[in-house]
Amino acid sequence: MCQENEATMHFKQVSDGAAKEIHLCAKCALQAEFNIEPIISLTESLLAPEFQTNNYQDPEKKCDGCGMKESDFRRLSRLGCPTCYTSFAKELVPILSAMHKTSRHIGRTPAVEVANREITGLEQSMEKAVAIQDFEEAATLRDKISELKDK
Amino acid sequence: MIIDDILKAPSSWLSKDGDTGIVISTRIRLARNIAGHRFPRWADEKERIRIARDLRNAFDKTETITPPVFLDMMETDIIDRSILEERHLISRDFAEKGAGSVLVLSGNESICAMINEEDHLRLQAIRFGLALDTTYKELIALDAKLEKHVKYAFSSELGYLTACPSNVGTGLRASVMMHLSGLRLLDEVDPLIRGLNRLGIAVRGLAGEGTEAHGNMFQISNQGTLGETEDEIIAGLTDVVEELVMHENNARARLMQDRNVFVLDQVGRALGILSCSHMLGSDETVDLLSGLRFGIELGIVKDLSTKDINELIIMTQPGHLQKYAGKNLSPEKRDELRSTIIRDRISNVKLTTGQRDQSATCEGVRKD
Repeated sequence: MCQENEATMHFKQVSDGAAKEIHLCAKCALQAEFNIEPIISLTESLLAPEFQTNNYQDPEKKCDGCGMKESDFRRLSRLGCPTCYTSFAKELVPILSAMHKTSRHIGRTPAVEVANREITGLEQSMEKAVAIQDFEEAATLRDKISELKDK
Repeated sequence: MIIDDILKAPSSWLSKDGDTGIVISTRIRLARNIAGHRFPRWADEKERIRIARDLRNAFDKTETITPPVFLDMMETDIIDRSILEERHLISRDFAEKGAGSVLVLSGNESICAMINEEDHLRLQAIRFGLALDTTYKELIALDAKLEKHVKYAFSSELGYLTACPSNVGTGLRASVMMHLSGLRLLDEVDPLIRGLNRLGIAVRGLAGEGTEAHGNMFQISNQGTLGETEDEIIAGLTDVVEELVMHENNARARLMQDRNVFVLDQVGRALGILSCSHMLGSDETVDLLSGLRFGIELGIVKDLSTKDINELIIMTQPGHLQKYAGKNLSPEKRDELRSTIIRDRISNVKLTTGQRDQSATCEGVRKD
């Protein structure tokens, strides 16, 4: 910093939980433009390699769905595809519990998923009905299932 | 050109009269992804283009009052993109995401969607004032129509699956923009923020994550997205906002009663600089306009509305200034034009102390 001109640009940098303020004049800011580190978000700090847990064992472990490695995921702070949630389920446990209230979704479900769950339930009841030879009940359930599937 | 139409119609969320001042706007965002595809950042260009095509089809098949408008970021020039960003319709780096980045506008900016931002689909709506519940309902109604035409990535355990684990579950981020000048002047904002963070509420500056709260404007939003229902998130945030409004009103009442001259001085200085300077930087402008807004809200500033302030804040952003000028402008020329526009708009503004009116424009100094 030149220590000459009046500072017109003010940055706040947070590192290790402590905030540091940086004041620069326009000239110095221009020169330093590409050196100023962006403020690190909670997400990034949680996903950084430093946030090592007992579950972080194999940086080469790959997602079956998209080929993303655990090290990629740590580097980008983003997952590669929906299947990553299964592939890295163990690694995600501490991250999800630090970010959210619980680790189980209790919100909205897409209509098609709701219907699928209903179908699964009906299919189980139908099998039970067949097992006890209640064919009348089984037939009613079968009709209900096919009606749901058509939707 | 679509951008020109957008410019003609002021953003609906900032053009309403009868503003109470503390809550500026409400924004709701839903993150969604298509099953069986890599997330945008990890996908290649071919896959992103395919996702954009599938989602555009889904929007086309969805019945809405007006047909959706699609803006491909690759075909949108840099000034138009900055205008979209300044209106909070796209994120800062959306335009740089490459092929397949498409903005969808339905109606008069009432619902917009980014295709291939961090997630395949980011549905969002911005509304005037505090309107969390109604805005959420509007957005979810569109989401329910879209899900008939695309299969979302969803797990019964984790909910809607998103590129960042911080959005998984509901994919819902609800945020409210608040003007907390009273609490700020009394140095009571920071302890409040710390308290809110413990409650799972995030507080950010005007332009989103990692930004300073210019103009004493704060974005209050839910942090977690998993383990709570959408209704619980909305209700929880509504409670927090209503409580903050109460605290802010309380702070304003204390300020007016105990430190009246201090408040008049703050507002007067803002008006003084805005009406007499000839070059204004963008952050400085937001801070000063906020000071003026505070004066309007307290009844100190006459002949100007909070709607005027909202419009000035948007109009004096670099992209809007350059669109107005019809050419690229250097930062110095932008500061000059910004100042001219503001001086022009506030030339008749008067300050009142409650006892007598006094003109605060510096006619004697101005030569133009």
